[in-house]
Amino acid sequence: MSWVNALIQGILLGGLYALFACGLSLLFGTMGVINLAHGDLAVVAAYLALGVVAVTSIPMVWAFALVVPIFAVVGYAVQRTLIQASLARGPFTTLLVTFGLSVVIQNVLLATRSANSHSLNIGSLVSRSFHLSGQISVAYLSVAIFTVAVVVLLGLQYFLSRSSTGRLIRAVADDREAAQLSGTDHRHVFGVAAAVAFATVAVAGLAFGMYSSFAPSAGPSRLLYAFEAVVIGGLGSLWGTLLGGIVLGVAQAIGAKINPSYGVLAGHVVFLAVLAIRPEGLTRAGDGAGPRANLRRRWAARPGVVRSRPRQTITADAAGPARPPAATDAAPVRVTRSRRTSRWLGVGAVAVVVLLAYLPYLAYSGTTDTLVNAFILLTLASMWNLLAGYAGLVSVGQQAFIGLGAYLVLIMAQRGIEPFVAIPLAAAGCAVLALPISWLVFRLRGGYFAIATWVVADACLLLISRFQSLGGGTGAALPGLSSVNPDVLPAVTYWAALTVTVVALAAVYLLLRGRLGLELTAVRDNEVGARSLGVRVTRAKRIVYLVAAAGCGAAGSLLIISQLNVEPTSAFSVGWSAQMIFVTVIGGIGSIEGPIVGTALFFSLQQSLAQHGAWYLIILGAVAIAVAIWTPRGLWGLVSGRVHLRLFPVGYWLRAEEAPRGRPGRRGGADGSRRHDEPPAVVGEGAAGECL
Amino acid sequence: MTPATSSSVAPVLEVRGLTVFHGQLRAVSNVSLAVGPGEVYAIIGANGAGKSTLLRTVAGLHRPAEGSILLDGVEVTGRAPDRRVAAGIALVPEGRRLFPSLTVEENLLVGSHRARPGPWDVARVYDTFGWMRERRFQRALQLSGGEQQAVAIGRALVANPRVLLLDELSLGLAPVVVRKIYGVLPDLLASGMTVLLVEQDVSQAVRVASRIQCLLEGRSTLEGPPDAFTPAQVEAAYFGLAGSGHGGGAG
Repeated sequence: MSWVNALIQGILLGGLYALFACGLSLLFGTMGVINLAHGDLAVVAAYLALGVVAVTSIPMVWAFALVVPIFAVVGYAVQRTLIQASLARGPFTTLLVTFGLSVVIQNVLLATRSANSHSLNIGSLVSRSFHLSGQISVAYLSVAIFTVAVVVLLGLQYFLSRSSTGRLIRAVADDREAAQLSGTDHRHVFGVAAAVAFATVAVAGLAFGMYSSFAPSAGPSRLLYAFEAVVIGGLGSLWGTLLGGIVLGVAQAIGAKINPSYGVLAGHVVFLAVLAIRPEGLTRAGDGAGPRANLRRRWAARPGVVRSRPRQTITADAAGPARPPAATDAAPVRVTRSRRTSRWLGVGAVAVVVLLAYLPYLAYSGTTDTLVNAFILLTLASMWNLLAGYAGLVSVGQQAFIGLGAYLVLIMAQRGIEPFVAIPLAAAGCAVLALPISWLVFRLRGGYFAIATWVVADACLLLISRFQSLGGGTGAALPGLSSVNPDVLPAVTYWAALTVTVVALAAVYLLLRGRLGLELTAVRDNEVGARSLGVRVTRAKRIVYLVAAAGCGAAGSLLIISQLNVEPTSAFSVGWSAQMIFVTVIGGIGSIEGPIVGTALFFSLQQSLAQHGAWYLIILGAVAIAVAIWTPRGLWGLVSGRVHLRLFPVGYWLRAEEAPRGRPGRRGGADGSRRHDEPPAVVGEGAAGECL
Repeated sequence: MTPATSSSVAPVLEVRGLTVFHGQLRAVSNVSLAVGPGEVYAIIGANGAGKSTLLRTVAGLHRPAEGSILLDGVEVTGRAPDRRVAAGIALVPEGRRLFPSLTVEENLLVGSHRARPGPWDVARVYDTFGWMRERRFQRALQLSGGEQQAVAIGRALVANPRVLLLDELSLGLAPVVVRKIYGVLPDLLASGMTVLLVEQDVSQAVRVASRIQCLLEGRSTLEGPPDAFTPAQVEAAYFGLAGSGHGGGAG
């Protein structure tokens, strides 16, 4: 009988998930934006309600009536400013910006509120329940939330299909330009859609706040639930979302019935199963008969990954190769990878590595320990840069491989394998594990790919926490290092970290110089064209995904070795993704040098702001948002655009043979002032993946 | 050069020295034209001549590098497309571009939501295209190409524009259908509208237009009333053959 109870609870919970998911789906349907801050906004709504009550001491229910319209206004404002600005850059930027917003919101809440959890109490309704039979009791609150969810979904359906504003929203979603030609200000329409979406987020956030407790960090897990409901139900279908929410709710309730800690994991498993077996969702996208068919079609017509490329960054150099070198017919042209500056920079880089290798003899272990953390972050950022900057795979789930790498080292150490020897084995193990994962997550594209990787990471966390031999939820200490002299252990760790980083950077450099780099560039420029020329697009992306998994696994193994223990929630924390993304974006995405610059900046910022707790992440998030919108090539892009430095030349330079030696050639593309008669013309850089 | 209108009346739409770039490509180069009230002005030219770019720039979808666009003597060059619709410029875009998931009627309603006052409304569109009324609840996607083109014209008409821009109406349609579509043109002119159209089919353009201009690689190669030119002259301007006074890269 209690199974029936779990089923009923699950169905009612599903209403809440559907309520929560419809805003996500509305924003994606109208403007193609995946709002990664969706969950955090819901948390903000709950905090806002608490704040309103604290300030005005009106009853909680009246505070709700205030919060929802406030959120609608905020939604309009956020759309017209942040989201619109990032939309102009492309879908890739909207992902970065909403992710940055998510991190900023979480940390502002952490800094201004406590990390303690709260809940919204509206009195007797929360606690009371009625009995259907002897053993089945249903809380009034659950029924009320389910009813609100159905009412909101019906209202949304009516609004979109019947009202003139809803008609405009659908028209803009169908064809933005044609809507403009019909007199529609699409930005205003987007603003209205965002206002509606934010209002539903507020309702869902308040419902969540009554249903369970919330804390500043509760947002991401809620985003995952909303996302799972959308995908299980079928993308873009409103009633599919309700069905998806119910399936998810039931899975979680039944999972929790088996073991209280299995609830969320059961939801993830059902989601991954649907992704594997029926990626189009339970309600198949039909013949376009539903009122939101346009939203569905938008999804279906989306080339996904290729559209999620950082378009904006291409334009700077894309214009370049169009101009043939003026000196072509006059003199033979030499094609080189590197120029004199690159060679000197290369020599400098080797010198820096040698110096770094010698550092343990010069500095205290405090310095080298900090550098170990920097190397870990640099490795992670380089891997993320390879994924997102070159293969267009915006993953926010690389922490899965950090955690797996750490735990693989732990498992091997428990079986007597030296931890330092285990590093390459763990990296290889992560690549092997990444293969089946790639089969699943590659079924989704763009922003949905991003969240799917996140779900996988969360599932890995929940799964690993179940093994008592690995320390369960509290983690375990790393055995096997007692044989190493404790005096030299920091130095050995440091050398291992330096080796991993150098190998990772070299691997990225060699990959991009080779055939794969050329293939990735072709895919970036025109996926269909590349495919028709025989480029195996998915294979190229899969290779990148596996390499990135290995790199993150190696970073994870360094993490457990440097900390001598591992704790699942911190090893699998999405905070890793935040760091690697911010470092790459600020430093310069799409260039190997970018993550290096970003890491240096990150650590100096962290050192100077360390005593201010969450504030350095707030500043970092805000800076990343600004950089993503205004200088999409990052700091390195700003520098290299001016002085044409290339530490890792993966592109090509063209120059006339008799060009005066040592004279800096002009680079095509990013250079504003091009002259056609300039003899030592240097163009076409980026033929092999540079110039993103 | 500023071509004079056929009449001495002030032009409804005037384009002065328009230059438009697509990246580094000069798609439209110093093109001027003036369309008087009740006139049909046709832009002809081969693929890639810059005809559509010219029309889209007039509608506000591209920003010109140089030149200006005037409606009834008022400069509209910097205005957004939706503001131009309210001012009285409506474009029927190439390839129809209906809202595929909206019904026929919803397409027309979207077109009329910022309409100027005038003779056209949804009912009059239904009267003009007889078949449309009973199929108004069908999705635009389910219509044939010619029917979609009619809805696209109707969607622009219900905004009651002063100037109607028609981009390649005949594209992908059977000749019979094209003739039917062009059959409504007199009806539009009777309601006081001015038409600027782009057409690849020269004979079709010459038949309906009171004035033509030929573009070749973005430059104007011929301008005037259609009966002022021999077919050979038009052909030379169209293909950029020797003797047309055009250098360029065509050969």
